[in-house]
Amino acid sequence: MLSSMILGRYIPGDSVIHKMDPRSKIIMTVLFMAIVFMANNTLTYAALILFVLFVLALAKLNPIFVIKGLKIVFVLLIFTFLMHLFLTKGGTVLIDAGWFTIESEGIVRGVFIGTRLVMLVVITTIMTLTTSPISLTDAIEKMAHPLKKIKVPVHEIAMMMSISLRFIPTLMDETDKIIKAQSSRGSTFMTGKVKDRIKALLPIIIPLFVSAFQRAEDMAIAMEVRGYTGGEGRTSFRVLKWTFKDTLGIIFVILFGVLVWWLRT
Amino acid sequence: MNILIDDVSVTYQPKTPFQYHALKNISTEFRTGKFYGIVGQTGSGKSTLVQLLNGLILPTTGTVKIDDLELKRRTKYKMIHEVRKYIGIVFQFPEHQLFEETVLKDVMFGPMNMGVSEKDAQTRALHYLNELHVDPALYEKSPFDLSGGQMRKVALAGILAMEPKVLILDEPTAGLDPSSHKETMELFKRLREELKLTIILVTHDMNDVFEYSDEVRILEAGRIVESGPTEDILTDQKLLERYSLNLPDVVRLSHDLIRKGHTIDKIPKSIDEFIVEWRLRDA
Ligand SMILES: Nc1ncnc2c1ncn2[C@@H]1O[C@H](COP(=O)(O)OP(=O)(O)OP(=O)(O)O)[C@@H](O)[C@H]1O
Ligand SMILES: [Mg+2]
Repeated sequence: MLSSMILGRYIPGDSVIHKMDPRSKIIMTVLFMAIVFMANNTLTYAALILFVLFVLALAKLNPIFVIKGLKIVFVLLIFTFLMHLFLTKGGTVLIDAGWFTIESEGIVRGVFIGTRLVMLVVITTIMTLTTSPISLTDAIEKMAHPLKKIKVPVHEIAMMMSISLRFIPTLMDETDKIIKAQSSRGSTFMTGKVKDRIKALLPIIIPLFVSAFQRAEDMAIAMEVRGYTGGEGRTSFRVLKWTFKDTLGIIFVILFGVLVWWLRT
Repeated sequence: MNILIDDVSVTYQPKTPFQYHALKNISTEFRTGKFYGIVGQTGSGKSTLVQLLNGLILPTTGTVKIDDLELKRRTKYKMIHEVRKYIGIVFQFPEHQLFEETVLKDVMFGPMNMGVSEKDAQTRALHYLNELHVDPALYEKSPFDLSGGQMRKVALAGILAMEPKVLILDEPTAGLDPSSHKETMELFKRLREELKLTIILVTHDMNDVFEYSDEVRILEAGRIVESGPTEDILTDQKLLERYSLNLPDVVRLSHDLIRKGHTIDKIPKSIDEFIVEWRLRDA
């Protein structure tokens, strides 16, 4: 159930997209998001879809796998579509049932906004699927560096982010283990009345918290004994390297933006 | 209880890039009252195999039969719950499963989930805590105030209080010092004799397998590649080398001495036993 979810997951690989600098990937993603909001007719939306499929191919990701992994998002998608279907008025009236009408503009808007949503989710998913969480936070730290001038604790925030990201898989494993241990003891949090199910969560949550705090404490001690005192003067083990393909990628996205601008009505 | 595994395969995360065939067409049997050792390289599927036995993982194909209870791909939760009454698992670091306010309540958690009355659960809890030599002064304390070793005993009592017929141990001695290690293993041996348990031990410690088990199953890359009596398999150096496993220390020592011309009729079960016999011989 949880295992097929790919939101926020990273799959190591060797595609061009994997090898790009995380900073350029963030910039390209943001640019693409802006472009998504420029699209306003069939042609531009079609261009967006083609572009995303092209990027998926470059990243050597199977579109079917990505779509399947984003099942949860589709609930949101259907909701958006239905909202537009019933609430947007204009065009010809297709169905008139007295207390509600469905008009052609509603369908068009529903499809467009739905596509927009999917494109936004898929492109950010491509970014996280192809970039390790650690390099993402590295990139964010580098890019937010100027904010230090106005006393934003950039390094500390980035450190917190990378520690949290680092522990997500560990905690998932831990949860899995504890669920298994308690299930073996006959704990039934999958069946029964809602009240019973909530009660059955305690045997899972309590050990999880205990071990999370234990880990946090161990981590703090380990950092302290190794002389961690914050970001001042720290160098990085993984050095981010901006290459020609990063520049090229950004130019390509900008050109695509120009194309969409030209095609929109 | 006899356990029969019939042509079982397990695939993790099917139809994703993470897809992994952890067990491939496994068939084997575990019989009442015996002590089994399961060995194999890391990642060979040992934990997956034992989790099949109490429905924590269901077979992707094939059947697990526990007497007349069956576990299959789409077995209903009710049946799985039934199976868990008879098959208890002690995981690595079992102390991580403690959560109740007091030690006594924590031990009562399992039996009460299985429909045992509060009064009976308490009787059982007291019995097994006593059996494991947990100091009665600790019964009303929070389990989180205990030492690591005490926590582990309480967790173990929590499983024994469910009075399973089959006890599965997945690396139960990981992270213990040598004397606690010995104590824990002796405890399992004693429990087995007193309660007539079937024991299935997953471990990397070949000495333990040789000393305590009757039969061995060797796993490699999701397949059972050898199965048979412990004294046959764990004394066969060629065979063990094929699966990158070591000979038990006492077997290695005995083989060396035999090669040097000493006669050893029956290889002792452990180094300790060996020393005792060797000294008797000199006397
Ligand atoms: N949830 C999961 N998703 C995908 N693969 C998994 C999952 N759990 C286990 N595996 C894989 O299945 C294989 C068998 O795992 P298992 O835990 O049974 O090995 P093991 O023999 O117990 O190893 P160890 O001696 O390290 O405990 C491993 O290669 C592991 O990576
Ligand atoms: Mg294991």
